Amino acid sequence: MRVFGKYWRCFQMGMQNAIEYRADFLIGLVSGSFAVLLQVFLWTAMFESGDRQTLYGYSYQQMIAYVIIAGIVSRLVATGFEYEVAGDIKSGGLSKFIVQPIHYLYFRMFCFFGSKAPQSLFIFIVAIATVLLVDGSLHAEELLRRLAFFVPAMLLALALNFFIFYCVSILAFWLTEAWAAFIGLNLLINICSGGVFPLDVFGATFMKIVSFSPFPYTIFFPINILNGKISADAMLQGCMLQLLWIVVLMGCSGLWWKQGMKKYIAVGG
Amino acid sequence: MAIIVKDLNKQYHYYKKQAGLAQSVKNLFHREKLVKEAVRNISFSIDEGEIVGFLGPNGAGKTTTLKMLSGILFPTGGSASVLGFTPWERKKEFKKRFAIVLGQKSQLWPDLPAYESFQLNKAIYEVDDRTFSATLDELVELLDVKELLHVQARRLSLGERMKMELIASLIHRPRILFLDEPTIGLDVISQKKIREFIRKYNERFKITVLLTSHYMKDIEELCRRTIVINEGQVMFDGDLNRIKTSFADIKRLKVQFAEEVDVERLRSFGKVTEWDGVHATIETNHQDVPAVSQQLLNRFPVLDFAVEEQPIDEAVAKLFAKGG
Repeated sequence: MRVFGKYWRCFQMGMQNAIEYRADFLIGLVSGSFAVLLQVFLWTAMFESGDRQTLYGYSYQQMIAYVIIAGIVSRLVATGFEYEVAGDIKSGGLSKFIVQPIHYLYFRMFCFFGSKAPQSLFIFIVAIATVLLVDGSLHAEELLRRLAFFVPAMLLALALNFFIFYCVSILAFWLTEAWAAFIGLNLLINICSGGVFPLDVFGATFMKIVSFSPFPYTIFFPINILNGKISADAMLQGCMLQLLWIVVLMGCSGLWWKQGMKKYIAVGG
Repeated sequence: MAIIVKDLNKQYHYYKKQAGLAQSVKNLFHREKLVKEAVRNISFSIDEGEIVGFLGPNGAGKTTTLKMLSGILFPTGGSASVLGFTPWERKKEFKKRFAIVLGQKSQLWPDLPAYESFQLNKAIYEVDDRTFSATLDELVELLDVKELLHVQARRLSLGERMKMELIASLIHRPRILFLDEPTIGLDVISQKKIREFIRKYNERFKITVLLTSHYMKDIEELCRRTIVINEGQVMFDGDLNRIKTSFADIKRLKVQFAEEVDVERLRSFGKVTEWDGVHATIETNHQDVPAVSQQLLNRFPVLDFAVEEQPIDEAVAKLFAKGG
């Protein structure tokens, strides 16, 4: 019980820290909306000029809903703790976790979940509102059915993205100035996750390749659940794959972390 | 015995890097590996309830030793037992019984009030509610920080922050406390308060304290026993006053004259270490002080006069020079 209390406290601390930074979150949301707005104009122009009902398998409404929801879901799963991990590694801050009876991975994980908790509700509401706004004919029953999958898929996506970026952050053991690598990887992973465009846009080959990676399951997959693009069977299968990837990355991060710790020399003599 | 250290060794490997682009390119293909012996065969033991000072210049191996004793670093050789545990096995039971404060690294969350960080430590160390509030009340009273508990940690002054760091590391009532430069960067009054707290806390709870510091005052006031290390080796282990006595045969006379005085005339009284015409510092033997003072006062227009002991840090510096 007390062991659980430990991590529950981490969760709360993450949450409080996020609330301290609520303005930061709102500003991020506003600046993120510019990119979304740009895309809305882009797709509107493309649909109008092409005179077509669908592009890359998306109707105009579906596409608009996708880019808006992708914008906010990207923000929800976005990590940022990789910089803190790198900082801990570089400055020797990791030492304080070594001397305390706490597991660094779980500490980070629960802080991360905690920091996401206050935003989650807000983001869920916006996402649902977007779907309803774009597709006015949607039945309440159908919406509930999609939500029944969307909510767990989103939680799994959050956990999955945590482990992806935890693995990325371990790079800092070998790269003293890891931030440049983080920025590049962040962008690449966001694109491969479908955080910018729907993955269908990049063509079938690309889709095939990324489907063997964990990335589409963090953004592309949950949005398509909400968007009504995939069948119930595919939803279930997707969630299973999310779980599988979480287990795989958890194992990898454990191994890499051990390797990294061997390299870790607390700074200062 | 709370701490037993035997022949502890720590070597670091690092790569030689010369200046210049050409050398950088060369280093891509071949790097010369060098070994630094941070700690060389250190042995000592510390009784329960002792406050022991760890003294030495930068890079002497003080922090490295503390890091090995707290399990952060693995030693290259030798053994250590802290409360019966081998630190680098990092057993949970061991972690719950000691604390380390690194003066230059904060364990508080900067954006949250210190109280939240205490709560986190309470959870991490699995301290029950009643013990937590009793311990916290006690520490808050000793350090007089009641008003600061709910202030964002980054808004605290350095001295206030250090007090909070101490509370954070004592919330689980450790039996051993490692303090690495606890007073670094603090003003004189804050330093004094931290020292007073450490002494009181040690008296009340019989906690074993091992502290490193650059400030002589910390060591002089707190530690009856001091371990001086330099270049990874123990140079001295015992009562610091013993170093003092071995150097106390030299005294300093600080004199201020009413008018300019010829330095040559002063030389006959002892070694003139400072002179600017009207101020002079003369070093002389302990037993000559009365005679020299008398003559100085008789033969010169003296405005001000003081006899000082050689500062202990200079004494220690000389000790290092002797050993090295």
